[in-house]
Order: sequence, then structure tokens, then C-alpha cells
Amino acid sequence: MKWRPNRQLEGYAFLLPGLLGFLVFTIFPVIFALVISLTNWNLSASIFEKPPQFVAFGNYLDLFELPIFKQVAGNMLFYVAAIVPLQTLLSLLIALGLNQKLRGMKGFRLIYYMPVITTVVAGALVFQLMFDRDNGLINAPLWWLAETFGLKIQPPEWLTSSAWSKTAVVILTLWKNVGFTVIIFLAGLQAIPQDLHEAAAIDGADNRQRFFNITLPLLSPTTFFVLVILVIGAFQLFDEAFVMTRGGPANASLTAVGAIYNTAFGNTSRMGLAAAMSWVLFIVIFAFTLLQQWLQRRWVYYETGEG
Amino acid sequence: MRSSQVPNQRQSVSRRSLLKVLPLGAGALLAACAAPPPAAAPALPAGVPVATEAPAVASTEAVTLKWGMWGDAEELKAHQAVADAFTAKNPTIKIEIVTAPWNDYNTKLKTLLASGDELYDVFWYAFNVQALAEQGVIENLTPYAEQSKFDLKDYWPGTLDQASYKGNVYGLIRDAGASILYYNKDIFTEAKVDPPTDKWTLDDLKAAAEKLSKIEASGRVERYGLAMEAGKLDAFLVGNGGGYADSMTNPSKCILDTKESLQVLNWFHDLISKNFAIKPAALDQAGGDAAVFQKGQAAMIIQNASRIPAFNTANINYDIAPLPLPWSGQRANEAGGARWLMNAKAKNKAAAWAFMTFLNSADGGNSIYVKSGGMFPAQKSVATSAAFTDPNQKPANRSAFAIEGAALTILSPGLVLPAWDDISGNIISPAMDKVWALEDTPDKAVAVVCPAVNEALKKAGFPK
Repeated sequence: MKWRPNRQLEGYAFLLPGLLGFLVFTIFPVIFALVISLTNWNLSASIFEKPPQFVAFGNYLDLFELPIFKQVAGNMLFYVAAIVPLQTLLSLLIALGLNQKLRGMKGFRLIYYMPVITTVVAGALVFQLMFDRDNGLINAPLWWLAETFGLKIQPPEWLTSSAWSKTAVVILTLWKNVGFTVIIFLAGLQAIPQDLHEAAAIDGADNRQRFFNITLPLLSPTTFFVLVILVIGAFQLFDEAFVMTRGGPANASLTAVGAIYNTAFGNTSRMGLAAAMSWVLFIVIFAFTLLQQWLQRRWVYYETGEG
Repeated sequence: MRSSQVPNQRQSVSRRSLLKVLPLGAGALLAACAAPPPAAAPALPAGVPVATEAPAVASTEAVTLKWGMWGDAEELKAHQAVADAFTAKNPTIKIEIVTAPWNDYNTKLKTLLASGDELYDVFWYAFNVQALAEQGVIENLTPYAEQSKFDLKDYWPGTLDQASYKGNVYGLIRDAGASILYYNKDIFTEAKVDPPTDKWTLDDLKAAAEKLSKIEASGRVERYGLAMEAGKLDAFLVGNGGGYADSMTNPSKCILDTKESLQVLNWFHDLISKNFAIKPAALDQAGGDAAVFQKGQAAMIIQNASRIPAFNTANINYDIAPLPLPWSGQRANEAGGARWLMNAKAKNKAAAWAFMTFLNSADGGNSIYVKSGGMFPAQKSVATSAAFTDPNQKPANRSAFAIEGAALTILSPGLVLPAWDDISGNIISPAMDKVWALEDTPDKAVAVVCPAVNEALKKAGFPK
């Protein structure tokens, strides 16, 4: 009789390449980060030759005493509170526009998606020029008004003042990422059965009523998904602030991941502390996601009757 | 004075001279194979005799040295020319250049260190040498210098301090980061301002900056008098008798709140608030001092010699001058600069040392580096060599470097004290950033900063 390997083993063999990659590049770093978060490893010598000392939860306790802790926590709340609602609202409005059956709509969809595939560094550098106090495009009309009409206008110092730097980062983030959530909303809108709209129209429902009573409820699973990924993304914000403001001035726009990066790869390279910060960030994101998951039962409508 | 007049300076590496230092490498290799030495101990025991027989790395055998540095394409061209010149004189020693952009270089080095992977044999390092020396990952160069009679006294006073640990030298400095005043001659002529002299004071600079600035009625600034990174203020702080801490190596208290320090801090704050100087954060956003100077958006900048090649290429009508004198009348300038270090585990330390001495000689590597411009040589023999002082090359007033050379010193504890990085990064920099963003005043900021620094020093066990 011809030998045939166990079908289950065969299945696992097919899984093995992906599983190995997952174990080596995801699970191992996560566990390794947890281990080093309990040590004082500082990258200045080989971990094998001079093993770091075990400091138990010392890094976690140090973290809360860091002068930047409160500042970064405040910054992150600002970013989440600004980016999540603004991007959700903006992308929903754009998706509604792009869902119209008009000529050239595919071109508009492409235009809105282009920033997503643009390198964030290139985008940030252009925005840096646009945000310049004296010569930037954004302040130019304000300077013109001030010069022409002698108005006492003080245009914002977008990137060099604590008051405005976070707003500048939010603007760049919205420009860069809104196209992505537009696509998700667009897919959600196109999945809504047209006959429901037609039936409502026959019953005399106007556009506003159809939007609030059909579109929004049926779009709620998509909205929930968008909110979850936006909250996670906002907490993990890094590139935009790192390139455009470097977290400044005076850490006013520093993000949590930026603080982790500075701690890990700054002059003192406190890897243990940085790993502890990463774990705390993970716990915060996880808690927010669980909260959203719990809250969704109250407002997300699934056609299958769940929720 | 040409370097040939410096008696103990190695000019090139002949086979005979190489053989003299090879036993040092063999000794170091043996030392490396043994149990790791205590951090403070030199890698080579004192009085290592010059052996009469060459070890396995005899000059007839091919040796390849890995040489690590950061740099842009232009800088790498100069490094490659140096490597080629060395190999031309020492055909058995090949140099393999390993490079990374500035932003990635330090991360790459740290990753190599942390993983226990092989470091480069000779490499450039811009951060705290003492931390590496303490860990025993870099070679103590003092025994090598003594054995091969390499003249450590040829360096400007203060320059080797940044690469010294417990009385031993662990790195050789190519160039000092000393700042000079660059000024745009066309703008000075247009604003009818006399060019700066070596007698200029900070008050003179302020008066000139006022005349050189172009500010519209609305407050929009068309041209700033001065563009200066906040860190460049350190020279004036220390020169005026102030600074960050009462000691660079063993600080006991913050001195930013002294009259001398506050005088300098308020001077710069006043320049910014009147729009005579650009805010440091805005300068960074505008592409840095070189960009605004080249675009004519600033009439003066204070920066080290690194800007010279770019300004020469852009054919700007500029010159340089020594830094203005603070109210004390004393000069102080940045001794810190990139250091060439040797890996404590380098396979062929003799060849690595031979290469390091070639790099640090007026008619060796440094003769190539000074031609490419952009450096203030840390060795007096190089700074006074014909290649560097050539009056036909821009900027004309190169004597400014010699004036600043005599004033080189360590301006911040960060250069020599690993523990200072946290204090500076977490306490001083964020507070001073607010001052330069005009969101706080120097007096109020230092009133908060100094107690916090003192507390942090106490917590870290200072003074030792």
C-alpha cells in the first residue's frame, strides 16, 4: 500500500513557513521585550557578555516618574481625541461624496487615496514648508491681510509653538490617512442593499431620513471597525510627528512611540525602560479596544440580528 | 609649520615602523583572549617591550581593516581617498569602508554592540566615549601612543579630554566642533554694517543683528540678523563664566541660574523676541542654518567649520570671524568633535593603530580631509599646515580658527559624563526649548530647572 503522510501533519507542514515567521518575528520579540522590560539593559555592551541586571518592575515604576510621562500622556489624549472623530467624520463625508454615480468619480477616488501611498517623509517635508511662519503657504493669506489692511493678526507658529505643533501633526495625519478610511467607508456604503433605499423612498422618506435611518445603522459595523483601527493608529502615531516636529518644541508634540524610540535609541539607550514603555502602551491600547468592543453592543447594528 | 617639522608625528607607515608596533597588537590580542580586564585598566600593560619578531600579521600578509563612519556622498569620497592613500603606502593593509547615514549610524553601532557582533576595527564615534571605555569595548590608545611616540601634545588643549577615561586616551580626534561666525558680506554692505572683527562683543553682534534684520510692519520677517542653534550658546555661557554645571566630570550643582549664565540666556532670548534672531526650532524647520544663510534669510550664522564646502560650492560672498566676546572678555569654544576609536576586539590592532596614526597626521589622512574642507583640525600641526591655511581658498579669514583653537574646552558635561544625557534630555532641553519658543523667560525657566538638575544629580550620586 502506498504510504501517505498523516493529512493533519501535511496541513501543519504547509503552515510551517508562515508559522515560523510569526514565531520568530512577532512572538519572540514580544516575549523578549517583556523580558528586557524587567532588566536594565542599555545596549552599550553585548547582552551575552555582560548580561543586564534583573530590576523586576523597576522600569515600570521609573516610567511614571519620568518628567515626560505626563506630557506624553496628555499629547496622546489630544491626538486620539482629535484624530479619531475628525478622520471618521471627514472620511465618511468624502466617502458619501465619492459614492455618487457621477462622471470621473474613479479619478476622485484615486486623488483621495494618493496621500496613503505617498511616503510620509515626503509629505511631512512639504507640510513643513507650508507651515513655515514667515514664508509658508498656510500663513500667506493671513500675512497678506495684515499687510494690506493693517490688521493686528498674529499668524500661528505651527511648528514652533507648543500651542500649535500638535494641531499641525493632526492636519498632516488626516491628509495622509483619510484616504484609507474613505475606502473602507466606501466599501461599507456599497454593501448597503439599494432596495432598502428604494423602499424608503417609496414610503416618502427624504434623503436626511434615509441617511440617519438606513445608511448610518447599516454602516455601523464599518464605523466600528474604522474607530477601532483609528484609536490603535492614533496611539501608535510616530512618523508624522517624528519627521515634522521631532516631537518639539519642548516635547509638546512628542508621541508615545516617539518617546519609546528616544529612550531606546537616544544617547543613553535605556532598552529596558523603552520595553516597559512599549508594554504599557500595549496595555493602554488593549484596554481601549476592549472598551470599544464592550460599547459596540449598544450601537452597532448587524443585519444578522447580532449586536 | 608643516607636519614634517613635528618630530614625533608619524608621516606614513613603512614596513619597519609597522613592525615596531605589531608586537603591541599581539600583546593586546593576547590580553583580549584572556579574562576581560577591569574597565579602568589600560588594554596593554605598561612597558610592553618592542618585540624583535613579527607576529602572524607580518606586513607581507594581507590584512583587511573594517573602517566605520557616517557621511554623505561627498564626505565618503574624502574617506575613500584617505583609504586609498593609506593602502598605496601600505599595500598589505586593505581598508574596507562600512558606512551608514548619520541618523542610522549610531543605531547600527549600538545594535552591533548589543548583539555581540563584530564591531568595525576603526570607527568614528560622536557620542560618549567614556561609556564605551567603561564597558571595555574600545581600546586604550595611550600605550600605543607611548610606544610609537605618537605626539598627543599636538592636539589643541582640551580636545583629547572628551576621549579620555581615567587618565588614558581612548580616541583620536580629527576635528574640533568649535564654532565661528559666518557673515554674508553682501548683506553687510547693503545694511552699511562694518564687518565683524576679533574684538567684537555680544553687544556688537546684537547691534549689528538689529540693522541686518528686515522686519515688515505686520511682524513678518524677511531676513533675520542671526541664525543660531541653541546649543551654540554654550560657548558664550562658559566663556562668560557660567554654564550648565559647576564641573564637567563631577558636577555638584547646576549653575544656569548664576548671573553670568542668565546674562547670556537673556541676551539670546532678547534677540529672538525682537525678531533679530530666528527661533532655534524655526531654524530647524527651515532646513538649518546653512539653508537660511544660503537663501539670504539670515545675515550671520554661528556654526562649526562643516558649512564651508557648501558655501564655497554655492559661491556665496561670505567670510568668517572669531566668535564675539562675552562680557567677561574670555573666549571658550567647543572642543568636542568626532573621534576615531579602535575596537578592543580588533583582530589586527597593530594595523589598526598604524591606520589611526595615518588618519591623524598632517600629510596623511588629514592632508586629504583639509583639502575637502569643512573641518577645524584638532591637531595644531594640521591647523597650521599650508594645506589648511592656504590664503587662496575661501573663507579668507582662516586665522579665526587659530584664535578659537586656543580657547577650546569642554562646554557641557554631556561630552564626558554618561549620566548627564538623561539630565539634559529630560530636564534642561525641554525647559530651554520653551524659553527659545518665547513661552517662558530664562529667569523663570532656570528657577525650575536648577533645583530639578540638583535633585537629579543627587539621585545619581553626584558629586562622587
